[in-house]
Amino acid sequence: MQDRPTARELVEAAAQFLSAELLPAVADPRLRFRSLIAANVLAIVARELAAGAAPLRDELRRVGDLLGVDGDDRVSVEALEAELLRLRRALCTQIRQGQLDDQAAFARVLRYGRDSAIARLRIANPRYLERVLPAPQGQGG
Amino acid sequence: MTTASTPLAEALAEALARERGLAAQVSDLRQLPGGASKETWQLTLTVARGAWRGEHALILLRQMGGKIYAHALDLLDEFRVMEAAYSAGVPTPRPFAALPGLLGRPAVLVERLPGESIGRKVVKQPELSSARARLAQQLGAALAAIHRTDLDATRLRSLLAAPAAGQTPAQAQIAQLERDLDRVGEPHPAIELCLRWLRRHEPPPPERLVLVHGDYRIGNVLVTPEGLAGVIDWEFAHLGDPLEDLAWGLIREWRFGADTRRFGGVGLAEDFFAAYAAAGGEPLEQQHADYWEIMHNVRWAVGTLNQAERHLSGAEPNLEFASLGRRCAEMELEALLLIEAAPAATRKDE
Repeated sequence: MQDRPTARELVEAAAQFLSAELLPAVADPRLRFRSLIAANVLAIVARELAAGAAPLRDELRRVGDLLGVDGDDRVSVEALEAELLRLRRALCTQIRQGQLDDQAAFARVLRYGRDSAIARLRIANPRYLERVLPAPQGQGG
Repeated sequence: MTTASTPLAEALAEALARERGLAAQVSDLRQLPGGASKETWQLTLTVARGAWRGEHALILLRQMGGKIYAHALDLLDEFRVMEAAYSAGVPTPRPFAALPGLLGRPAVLVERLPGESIGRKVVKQPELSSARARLAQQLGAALAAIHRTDLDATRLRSLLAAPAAGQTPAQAQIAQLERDLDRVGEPHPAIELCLRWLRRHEPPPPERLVLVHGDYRIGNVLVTPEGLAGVIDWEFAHLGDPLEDLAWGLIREWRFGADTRRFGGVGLAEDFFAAYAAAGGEPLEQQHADYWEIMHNVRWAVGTLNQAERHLSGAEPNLEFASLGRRCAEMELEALLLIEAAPAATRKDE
């Protein structure tokens, strides 16, 4: 275990430096644009570190339900990610081959896709979610 | 006036002398920001004699290595499309010269029109409010002119990519997106689901293929306080369905935050469609535009993955490209919400 600051605290400090100190001093529009992106990217990483493995486990459960597999007995983040990728791939194949075309199956996959996108946007761009979803919706991620 | 003596300015003057027989002086050459696939410079060209005698405010575009999509036109073919569109009366910068090997890279010179192209500014700047009131109408009329371009007289029919025989433009687009997705290699069930929906809900194909601009939206047009000055960025031109261009400018990404104005954050889709039809474009079914709006959200979702891949592959390390990968979920969500809202009448699965 590393000393404080934690990974999240370090990333937040760097994001704060970029937006509060560096950006006001940058005049070149291209550099400003990229500095803004850098600050934004660090904010994403901070939110991702704060969320931990919970969104991974959540999506693994959802996609496992769709495919009729129960695979949430993994411990490490790497193992969770590998299993999730495997199940997502299986789902993609079934969709493209037309195995989920009937109305009920299609609606279930659509709901999963929507919830998965919302969960990712909670990390990647929460302000976008506020813009497009009129009222709070979906489960906590 | 400052007379530039940079290697680029000298090479430009030499190339114009060699290839066009122009005794021309290059001045005020400077690079402008922006452009994911090409470098943009502005300059003044002073021609001493002949048909081009006088001062010309020009833009120099230079090809860079990267392309957002593998099927984008190279700069010299893009120039030929601009020539065709300009001769068809489309408001677009007048093409000046194509220079295939300027300092080892393809380059073109075109007229420098006034106006703002940055989408965010077109949508928000107070001094452009009068322009915004006209843009849906002006862009509708300009699009009708683009789609009227004679493909045979301009030889675009043999230059530009078209759907394979037996394939409709929608099927060609879906197949292309599947190939792009497979090449990136990450599993995206939401995108697969959208592509599947698009395959099963295709509207009737167009009666004829037209010149499709391929990136027709706020952000790729020059806007002055009077409104539209010119259509730019033709690198995605191809032969396809008029609806492709009619719907691309509707997607939320190109409203630049002004979400309630569906046409590019500046106007009503209905006004844009009506102006298109009034200027001679084929009248369209609203729900067919809705279909292509979904298609285009998927296209841009896959586009963000392609962009991120440019960084991840090591080909073009770039923070902006990298960051786009995390925006894919925005377009996935938008496409899924639009599918949920699509009227049952167009859904064969119900």
